[in-house]
Amino acid sequence: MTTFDVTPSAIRAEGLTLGYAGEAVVEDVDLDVAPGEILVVLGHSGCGKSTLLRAFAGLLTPLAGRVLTDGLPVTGPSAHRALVFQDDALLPWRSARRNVELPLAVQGRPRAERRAAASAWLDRVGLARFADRLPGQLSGGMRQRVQLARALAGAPGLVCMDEPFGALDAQTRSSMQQLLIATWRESGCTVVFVTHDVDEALVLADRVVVLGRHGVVVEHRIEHPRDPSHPVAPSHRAEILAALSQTQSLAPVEPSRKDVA
Amino acid sequence: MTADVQERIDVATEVGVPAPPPSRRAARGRRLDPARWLVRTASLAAAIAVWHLLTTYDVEAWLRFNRLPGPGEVAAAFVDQVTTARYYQDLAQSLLRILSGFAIASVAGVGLGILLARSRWLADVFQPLLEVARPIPAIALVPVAILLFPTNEQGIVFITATAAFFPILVSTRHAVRALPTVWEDALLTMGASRRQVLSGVVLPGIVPGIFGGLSVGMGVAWICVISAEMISGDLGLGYRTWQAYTIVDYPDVLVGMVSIGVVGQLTSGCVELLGRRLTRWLPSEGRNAQ
Repeated sequence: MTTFDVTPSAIRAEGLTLGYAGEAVVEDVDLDVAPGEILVVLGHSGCGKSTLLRAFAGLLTPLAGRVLTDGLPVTGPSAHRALVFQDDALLPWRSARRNVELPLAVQGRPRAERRAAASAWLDRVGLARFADRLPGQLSGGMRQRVQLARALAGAPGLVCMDEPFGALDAQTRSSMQQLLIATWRESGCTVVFVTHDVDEALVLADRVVVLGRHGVVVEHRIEHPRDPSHPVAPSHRAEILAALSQTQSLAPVEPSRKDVA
Repeated sequence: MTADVQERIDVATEVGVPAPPPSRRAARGRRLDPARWLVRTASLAAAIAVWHLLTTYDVEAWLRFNRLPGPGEVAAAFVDQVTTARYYQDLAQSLLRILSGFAIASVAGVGLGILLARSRWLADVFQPLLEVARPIPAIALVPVAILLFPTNEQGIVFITATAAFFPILVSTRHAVRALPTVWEDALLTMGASRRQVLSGVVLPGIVPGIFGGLSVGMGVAWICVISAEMISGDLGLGYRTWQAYTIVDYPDVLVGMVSIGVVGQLTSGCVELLGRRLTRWLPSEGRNAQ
């Protein structure tokens, strides 16, 4: 199977200014994501973290600066950089299986291969039984699992995740985080994960950055990432929280959020 | 007969309901509650009874029913009509006109609607033209159609297509604009081309929106095909109805009206049924069924 034929991508923002209609939402972002790393971008709503992801995915052209992936400038969206949205990004007329098949269908893979890969992915996210359900017949958590499977089915080198678990209840959210870690371990892709939840960031990340209006405010490398026996020291957590609350006071008025997924 | 058609349509519309166990739900929906069935039949029977009484007793209470044919007369005329080959010729001719006109309007309306919604340049080129043409009732195009088209037949199809085109175009344009951008973004980040976005997201995504336009389009298409036939046809239900009127054969006029009603409902029923079939995935479909 070609499912895990993944070459993790590096992605890099250089002096990146992003916004809509010429008006900047976030300025001067310099960020370097190593291949195979989980980077969590923390920030308040409106700080431009979704916008940053859209630029990484190639859906948004920067106002200034540039995005590089594996050394080459990003000029548009590509199958190598998947995007997982907060909610409702599944095509509601396609069953769970046919949603997961979508990236492979776009790549023109033969039907038998698509079906096999989609089934394997649905199995991996625990939804084999629900393969033929429509998104409307699945719970919110299930839909996000389908989205995760769909994003990874195309074997992208980078997966950008825009608060993918933000709308889920605490318990589902925690199991989704574990599922993400497990699938990431198997796939080996680079993950840029956006959230406003510090605890979520600490559970998932190799590295956490706090994004403010003028770029990265704080950067924190987790010493023992994703290791429950070595939790992050409370002082570090407090430091990140402090940085986060500091950005809030600087946060601009909520722009017209076309970027909300 | 009308009741029968209504019945079939209603049953049909309840078939395509989505649910986790689809087979059972479909089987349940297929059978209409007998009580409701009774009410529907009784309603129609009552209307016919009132009609019968009004005409039998030649009621003249401002509205004059003394010369209107009663249901018995009309039924007799109907029986006479349906045993002639000409009746079926007229029926087939009208159906051919409406179906070809509607097909042309659907393809043109949906196609142009998508282009106008997705290309600013094309919108600038075509929008002013269309906005000026839209308020003109299609039936007012009869003189122009007679000038432009070599045969009457093509003229009538043109008028029918024009009538159905605008509601379809407008609903398509709105449906495309109302599509959540997140679906398109999802496909783009899978590396989809413009064409793949069109076939994978835009076309299936606008289906619920365009079926409103298709239903309205079918309705106005009937209005226009019948009117056009009355003015310039030499066959068809509209032509035959008008012919009956010119020779003061009122039972046959009513036969024509009833025929138009029944066939018209049949075609709108088909559009409705197809729409339901194609939009089973809509969440509201599931809710309505419960």
